[in-house]
Amino acid sequence: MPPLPWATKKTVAEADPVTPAVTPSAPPRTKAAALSFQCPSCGGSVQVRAVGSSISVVCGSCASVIDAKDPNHAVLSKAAVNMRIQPLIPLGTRGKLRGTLWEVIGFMQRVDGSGQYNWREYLLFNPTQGFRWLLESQGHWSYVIPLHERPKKGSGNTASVLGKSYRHFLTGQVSVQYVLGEFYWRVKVGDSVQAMDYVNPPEVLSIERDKSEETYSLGEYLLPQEVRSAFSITANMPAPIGVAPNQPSAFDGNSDLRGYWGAFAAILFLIQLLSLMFSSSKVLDVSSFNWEKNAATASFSTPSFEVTKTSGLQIRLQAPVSNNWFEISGDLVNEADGDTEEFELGVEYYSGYDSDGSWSEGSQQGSKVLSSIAPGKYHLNLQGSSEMERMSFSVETVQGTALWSNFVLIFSLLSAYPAFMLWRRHVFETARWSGSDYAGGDDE
Amino acid sequence: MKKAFLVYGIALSLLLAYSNHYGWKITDSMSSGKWGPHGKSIYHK
Amino acid sequence: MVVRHDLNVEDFGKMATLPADMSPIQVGAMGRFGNLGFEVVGRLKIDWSDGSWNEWYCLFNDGRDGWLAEAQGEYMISFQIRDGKKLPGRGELRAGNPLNAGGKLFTVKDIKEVVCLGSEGELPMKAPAGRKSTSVDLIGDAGDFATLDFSEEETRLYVGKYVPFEQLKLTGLRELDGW
Repeated sequence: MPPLPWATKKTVAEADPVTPAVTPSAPPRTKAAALSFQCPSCGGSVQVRAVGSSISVVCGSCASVIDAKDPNHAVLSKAAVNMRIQPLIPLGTRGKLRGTLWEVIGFMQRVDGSGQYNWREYLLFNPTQGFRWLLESQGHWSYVIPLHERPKKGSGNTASVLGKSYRHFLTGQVSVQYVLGEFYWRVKVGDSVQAMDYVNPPEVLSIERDKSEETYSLGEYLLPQEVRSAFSITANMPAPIGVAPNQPSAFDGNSDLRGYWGAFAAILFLIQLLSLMFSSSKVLDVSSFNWEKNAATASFSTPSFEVTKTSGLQIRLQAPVSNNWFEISGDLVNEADGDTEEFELGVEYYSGYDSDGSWSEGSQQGSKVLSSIAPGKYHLNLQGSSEMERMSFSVETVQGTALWSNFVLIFSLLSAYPAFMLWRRHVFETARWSGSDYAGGDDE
Repeated sequence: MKKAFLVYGIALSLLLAYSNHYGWKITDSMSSGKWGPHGKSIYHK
Repeated sequence: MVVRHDLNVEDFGKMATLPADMSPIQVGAMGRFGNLGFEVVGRLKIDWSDGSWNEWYCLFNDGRDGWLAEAQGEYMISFQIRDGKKLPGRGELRAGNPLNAGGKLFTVKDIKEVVCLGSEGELPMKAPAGRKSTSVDLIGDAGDFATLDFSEEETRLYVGKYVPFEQLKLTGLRELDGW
């Protein structure tokens, strides 16, 4: 028959919506139902749910893989030898995910190249939407969509598709270990593909390749609760172990945190600067004493001095100790009410020569801050102690000295929170990448 | 989490301003167990 | 059997009993492709070693005719391109090869030896059951789709797009037991 010429303009009605120009009446609605037949191997009943789409189906009784397209239902292979796995979600279960009702029609367990690491995949079917997969690995779930866009390889071990970039996670051989139910290709236990996974949490891009074709799929992380409620699972869900490659990070708000930290660091600097500007230190008293170990007067007193402004009072001790130590213990006496505040202060200094030259340790000066001393008249009562026989020392009392320890402490406290979160994120990401081809490195 | 950090930062800023103003060395309080800018001196006047 | 020459389509009735499937589409269904409305008037069931799919023949209300391919929940609308450009030979293409068609760049996705299982409704050509051909599917950017059909009589090129089911806004669909 000669090729037909290009069709002439049709006399289809221009009106919208399309009204059939020719066909007189709408065809009667026909119903389509699932199909069942007898297994040629064991006679057990085999059911095909996705009629016309599934081309292999496993007999539930004898684990033979049957050609669903073949009217004679030839047996293709054996699905399992000495192995029986009960899928968590039974075949035939229906559940609603992403707004569509799905039926579980197939189940498979696949294993990695080492043979030690396996995971389960549930084939989901809907007559208008086609197929999806539900993947469960180490207790973590993903909702997987077959992709018909070819991902493009990018720089530095990345791949991109549909406007998103994914980082290479691992490449390996993957084999089918166990099958149940039906599939849209002739599946066989032992079928092997090279799989390449790329991640961009919560998504994972998978490229699977064998001799004849390359397929692509995109998985989205699902919480176990989502799967449980979608498919009304009553049995115990497998407990999630470790971090899944596409598991969303709990610690992704870090960039905002950094912004806040920066702002507060600046504020703290400003406050400290203002404090320094407005503090003026004033020496209230300088007194010198001669201490003797066996002296009659065991304690010394400074003359009265006046504190004019509430501030930290700094007591500075100076004593020319050499390879020895000297300590004073004292009371700050409030002359108005007799209240005292105790303090202790010491100096130690050691020096010498050795093979490297001269060395020294410690200092002949020391100081102590008494917090928030209110205005008023005060003096110090002091007592000394040392191993030496005698020591001259001087004590200087200064008001309004700048405090740096507060700033250091508070700045550390401020940084502790983001530092802690950074550390937790590091631990999380290290756990994620520990299962990858890049174990030992960390992601930023 | 961000809100908590905001409150935390404001609290720390106020603490720094307060402690510097009253000459309260916080680390001393941590070791002595006596908290607050030496209550005795401030409130006793 | 109705043969309607003004439309250049022929209703050959059911050439062979088509195997059952779960397709929600049936002859008489209507849908939309962008601004165009269309009606499903015929069907071909195409089979290959690892599966089968439906090619629904559709009439669009701008006067064109085209095909709605339905395979595993994927839907592609395409129109035959006859611009006189030279098409590759039957054995020339391999997976991954590029091809310029309809002003766009495509990459060969797969090559399948197919056979027509049967047909129903109105079709632009005779599609006898058992007709063999080589079908090459190509994908482009942004959901672009193309097909080359190599048979003894001729080579045909179709260019179109993947369309999500919802966008087709199909009415008059088949009822499926349990769905």
